[in-house]
This record gives sequence, C-alpha cells and structure tokens, in this order.
Amino acid sequence: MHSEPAVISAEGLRKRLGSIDAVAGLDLAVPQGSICGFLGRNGAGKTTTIKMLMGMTRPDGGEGRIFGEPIDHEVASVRIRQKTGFVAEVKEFYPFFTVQQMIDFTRAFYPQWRNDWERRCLREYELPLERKAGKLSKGMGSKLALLLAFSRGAELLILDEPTDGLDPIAIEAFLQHVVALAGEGQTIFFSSHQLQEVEQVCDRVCLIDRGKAVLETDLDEAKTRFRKVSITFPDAVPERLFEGTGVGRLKVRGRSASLLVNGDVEAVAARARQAGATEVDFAPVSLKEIFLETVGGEQ
Amino acid sequence: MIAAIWRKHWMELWKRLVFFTAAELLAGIASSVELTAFHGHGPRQAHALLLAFLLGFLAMFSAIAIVVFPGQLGGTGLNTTRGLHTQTGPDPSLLFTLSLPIRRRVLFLYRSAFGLLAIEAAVAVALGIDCLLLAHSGVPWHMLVPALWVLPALAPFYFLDSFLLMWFSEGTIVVIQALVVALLIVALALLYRVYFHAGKMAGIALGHFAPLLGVLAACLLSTAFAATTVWCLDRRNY
Repeated sequence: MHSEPAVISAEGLRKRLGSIDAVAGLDLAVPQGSICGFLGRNGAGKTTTIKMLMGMTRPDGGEGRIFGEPIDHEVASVRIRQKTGFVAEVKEFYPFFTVQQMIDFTRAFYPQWRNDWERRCLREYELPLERKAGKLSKGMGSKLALLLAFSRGAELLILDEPTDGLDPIAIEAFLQHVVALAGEGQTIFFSSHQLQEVEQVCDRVCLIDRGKAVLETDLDEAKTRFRKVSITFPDAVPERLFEGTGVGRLKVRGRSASLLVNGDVEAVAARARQAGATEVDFAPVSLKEIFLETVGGEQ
Repeated sequence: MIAAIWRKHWMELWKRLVFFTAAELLAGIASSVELTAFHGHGPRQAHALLLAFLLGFLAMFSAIAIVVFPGQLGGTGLNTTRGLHTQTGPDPSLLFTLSLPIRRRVLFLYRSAFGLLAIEAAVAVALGIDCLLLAHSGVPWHMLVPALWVLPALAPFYFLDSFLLMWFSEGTIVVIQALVVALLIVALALLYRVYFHAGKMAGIALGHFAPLLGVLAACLLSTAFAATTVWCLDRRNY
C-alpha cells in the first residue's frame, strides 16, 4: 500500500464534450514514485482526463491537483508542465523540423533537460536525427515522443498510449525505461490498452468506465481482492448458490463452475463446500480478467 | 526559449509568406497595368485610378489573406476544443505545443507578432512595386500616399481573425471575413462617390488629409482585438 503523498489527485472531476459526459466525477490519487496504469475502454474518458491534467482543456467541475497545484489555473498549469513529461495520444510534431531540431526546440523549454536520457533514447530507439519529423513512421513518431518526454528531466510523466505503433523490442526498451525512471523517483501515469505491459511494470491501476473510476488501487491489492475459483460438484452446478457473494463472472461447464470473485473468496468456498462441492481450487487472476470483470461487466 | 519559438515560426511560415508575397505582387502588377492602360492621366482620372487600384488591391489582398491568416494563427491553442473530438484536430502537433511550459497567451502573442510583421513586410514590398508602376504611368507621387493606409489596415484584419478563430471554424471565418471585406469595399466605393461632393470627409476616411488618424484608428482596433483575444484565452473554458 502506498503511503506517499499523491502527486496527482482529483475529486469529482467533470468534463462535458457536447452532449457527452466525457468525464463524470472522476476520483483519482496517484502516489509519488508510483507507476500507475490508467485503463479503460475506448471513449471511457482517459484522454480527456489526461488533457485536463495537462491544462489543455479545463474541467467543468470537480477539483484536480498536480504537485498540489490546481490544474485549471493558467499560471499553475505552466508550473505543472515545467515538471511534467508528456506523450500525447496523437504523436505528431512539427513536420518541417528534423528530429535533431525537435530535440533542440524542446530542450529550450527545460533547463533541467537530461542529456543522458536523450543519448540513451537516441541509441536504443535508433532515431534518425536528420529525418524530418513529418516523414517519421508511426513507430518512429512514438519513439521521438518518448525521447522528448523522458529527457525533460520531469518529476512526473503522463503518457497517453505511449507504446502505440512500437515494435516489441522498442516496447521492451520502453518498459525498462519506465522502471528505471520510477527508480529515480519519478511518478509515471500512463494509459494503455496493452494490459500485459501495464501488468509488467505498474504497481497501481486505475480503471475508468464512462468517465468514472471503477477501480483504483495497488495492483497487488487488486489481485488479492479478485480471485478465480474453480468448483466441482457431484451433480449439476447450483448456480443460484452464488448470488450475493461477490461473484462477478460465472462459467458453468458440466459439473464444474469457474468463478471470478471480487471479495471474500473463503466465504464463497465455504458456501460451495456446504452445498456438496467435491473440489475447490483458487487461482490468481490476470489484470486482463480484472479489467474484463470491472469494465466489461455489462458486455 | 524565445529564440526557439521564433525559429519555429520562421520555419513554419516562410513558405506561406513567399506564396503570399508572390500572389500579392502578381495581382498588384496585373491590376496596375490594367488600370493604367484604360484610364486617362488628368488629376480627376488619377484619383479614380488610385481609388480603383486601392479597391482592387484590398479585394485581392483579402482573398489571399482569408486563406493565409487562419493558417498563420493555427497551432497557438486559440481553439483546441474542436481538436478534442477528433484524433488529429485542426493542428495535429498542437497537443505537443500545449504540453510545453508556456502560456497560451504567450504562444499567441509571439505567433501573431511574427506573422503580422512578416505579412506587413510582404505587403510593403508588393505595394511598393505596384506604386512604382503607377507612378511610372503618370500618377503623381502625392496621390499615392493613401495607398500606405493599406499597411496599418492589415493589423485589425489580422487580430479580428485571431479573435474569430477562438470561436469559429476556419470555414466560418472565411465567410465572416468575406462579408466584412465586402462591406468595406462597398463603403469605400460609396466614399469614392461622395469624394467629389464632400471631398474632405472622404479624404479623411482615406487618410489623404489625415493619414495619422487612419493609422491611429487601425492601431486602436488592432489593440482592441488582440487584447480581447488574450482576455478570452485566459478565461475560456476549453
């Protein structure tokens, strides 16, 4: 459990886009030094939330703070961005600049620019310095975005789909970079649809659905809370047995039932045994299963 | 940081400026040649010639500016709301720009200052050459003074565009700007008719007798539009 103060905090954050509540009362707390995965289905409100955090759009309601500063205050937002590295969902840069010119341009805004990270990213991502940014492939654009974010010497990294378009080798390098930066004390908040990557490096997750956080906790705690239980009965599975016990998903095949339990696993097992279950097994769940259970519940 | 921004603006805009200057120059030369070929050289004809030239120049300038101005002011975060609904938005690199530790008003002011200076220079070159052609055709130099009015008159157009860009799409701005220009041309044409009946009034309006008044009015209008844009930028709920 994290006890560090929250670098990012939000209470009841709201944003309406046209007739849609893109973010509908989001509560969020990202502790200092954590790697937090921000997950949700398409259109769940992840990018809008990130844009609010970065001061690109203003919330319609609620309160958001980064480093204790309000995100909707123009001057405070500049101070926040001075200490924040960012990768946008759309990895587009000035097409008339070369990669080297993009680096030089960005460096001019950050006195704390990290030359060591610049060199490391250039080496590992194999970016062509003389190529125009407008001529970069999607993957190369993502690599340049990561270089520019990592080298800012930031205390916080906000990354929106950072691995979009990256090849497996670059993804591996990215994950190592994230862990290394967190080791230096940076806080990392990133959205992704690649749950395996998130599971690999994150110590905290926030699942968002329809603009609201439906699960926000340490990853270990989530995995403790959610368990997969396999139960075998001598006869047909009494499906009604599990009503009101925190069973999220129930799959029945013959005399066996597979359950995803959110809550008291032992109570479910005890109830199964009382009903004559011959075998009860527990298994850990993957983040994907938690995601499907929490966010895809109505599917 | 400032040097980086100026460099970015220069690299982004120089091709558009070359196009703008070339288009203005060609249009101005064509207009001058046509006018001098079909008009006489008396003082009354010279007035008519100059006014027709100014109207033509204004119309052509507006047609080009309608395309150039919104493009020039893009990427300053004047209107990001449109971009939120789509993947790319009006300027795909805008999200990167807005992630930098710089206020939108500063982005806007640098961009508009650079853009306006560059456009003024381009128009001054085009106008200078056109006036030389007219003078060569027999129009007295002092009659060309009102043509200078075009230079300060650019600024209000420019900042009006910046203000409109915050609220409307570029397509809508083209329509609004075209209407404004049409009204202006009609007003100038009416003044031309009045000119010979109430000479001084039209003279003041054209800056002939009081060019400073015209410049002052243009500066005031520009400042008002620019200040309103900055004020709204700081307060708008994007």
